[in-house]
Amino acid sequence: MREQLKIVGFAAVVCLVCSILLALVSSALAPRQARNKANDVKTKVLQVFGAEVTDAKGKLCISQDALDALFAERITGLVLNADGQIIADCAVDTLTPQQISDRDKVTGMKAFYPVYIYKDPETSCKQYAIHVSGKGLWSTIKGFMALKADLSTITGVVFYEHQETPGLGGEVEKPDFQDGFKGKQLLENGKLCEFRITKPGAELNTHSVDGITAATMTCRGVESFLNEDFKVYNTYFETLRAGQ
Amino acid sequence: MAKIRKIVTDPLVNNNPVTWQVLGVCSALAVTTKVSTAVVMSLALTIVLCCSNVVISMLRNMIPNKIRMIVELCVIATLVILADMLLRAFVYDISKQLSVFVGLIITNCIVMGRAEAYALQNPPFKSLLDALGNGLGYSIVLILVASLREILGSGTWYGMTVLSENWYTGNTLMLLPPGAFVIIGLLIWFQRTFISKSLREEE
Repeated sequence: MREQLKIVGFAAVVCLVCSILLALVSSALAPRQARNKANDVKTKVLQVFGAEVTDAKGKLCISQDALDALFAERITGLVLNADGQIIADCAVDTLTPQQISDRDKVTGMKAFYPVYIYKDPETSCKQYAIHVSGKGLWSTIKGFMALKADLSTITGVVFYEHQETPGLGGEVEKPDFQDGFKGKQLLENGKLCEFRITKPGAELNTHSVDGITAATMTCRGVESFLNEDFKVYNTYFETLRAGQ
Repeated sequence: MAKIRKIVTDPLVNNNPVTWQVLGVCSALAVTTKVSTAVVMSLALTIVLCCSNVVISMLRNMIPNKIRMIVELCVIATLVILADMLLRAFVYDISKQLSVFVGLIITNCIVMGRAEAYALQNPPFKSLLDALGNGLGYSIVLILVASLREILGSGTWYGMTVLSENWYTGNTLMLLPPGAFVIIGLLIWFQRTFISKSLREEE
């Protein structure tokens, strides 16, 4: 009997010590982790607008405070729902990375579609960035796409998160693939046109880019979620264009 | 002194945890597509292994025999979660690359195996050395496999171009898990046939 009590007692002490330790560390580090996550999104948004905030290896080359300041100074945002309507009193920087990429299991739509608006400090020219994400082959691929003020010309794409096979589908994170999007058009004669990712070597037009060799499934996934997301965003962009 | 040195050097080649004891193969398959992730995984595993061996060795006279494995698991799991939280707070980029594999350190048989086989019978300092040796042994194999896979698969090493894309087409097999199976299999064969031959004959 004493033996058993000793065992239970020892187990209880071990559990208690471990859980207290974890709870302490977790609460001490939580703000830092949250900041890292938020700044990661901010970095990508600035990056897609062509602001030089990272070095060649993708490491942040300005301080986190400078990043916050830069983001606050140049970027405003709004959030759309799946119908392309603005959700009032919802700020882009309060959304977590999960919220902007999780899709509803039934409808396949996301609940939040953020739009980031970049204002150039010198020319006060506007650019827009949208968040695009969806299934690749193995994982959810997430990215940002920047558009010119005409809301049709793509100025840049950054796919910042994925778990595709390195060297195959993983090439979506490489500039080789992403640079192909630059200058392409979402619209043709004012209508949204289906965007294609073709087999490498096929003839390209203004609505298609070269795919990645040996990563057909990943490219197909990217193609389909890009088109789905374009539809939602375009509903909102139509209203903007009508107002212009 | 020679004995103490042997604790560290023995697991490097002759008694290597991956190629001789065939432990930790799961992660050796998963994180070896690139050298950079393999290096971080090696570091993380070695650190967790050292801490867990020392802690368990210090508790070894108190741990009731009947629940020793549960206690070991509890200690290891705590350390791994700590490591994961620290990575996420201080080196966010790397933690994103490793994602699920940090959690997988818990299931790495090397950690549990060394706690069970060594730390429970030996004092903390010797356990630390044993952990260091096994951690390094694991690292050697991991980095070797990752180097071969990255060079043959993508023509790069640690992100630097080794085989130019102009004349070398990456071998896709090397980037997929079966490629790691083939390489680890060859390594095990190589070691058992050539390096540890005398060892086997002694047995």
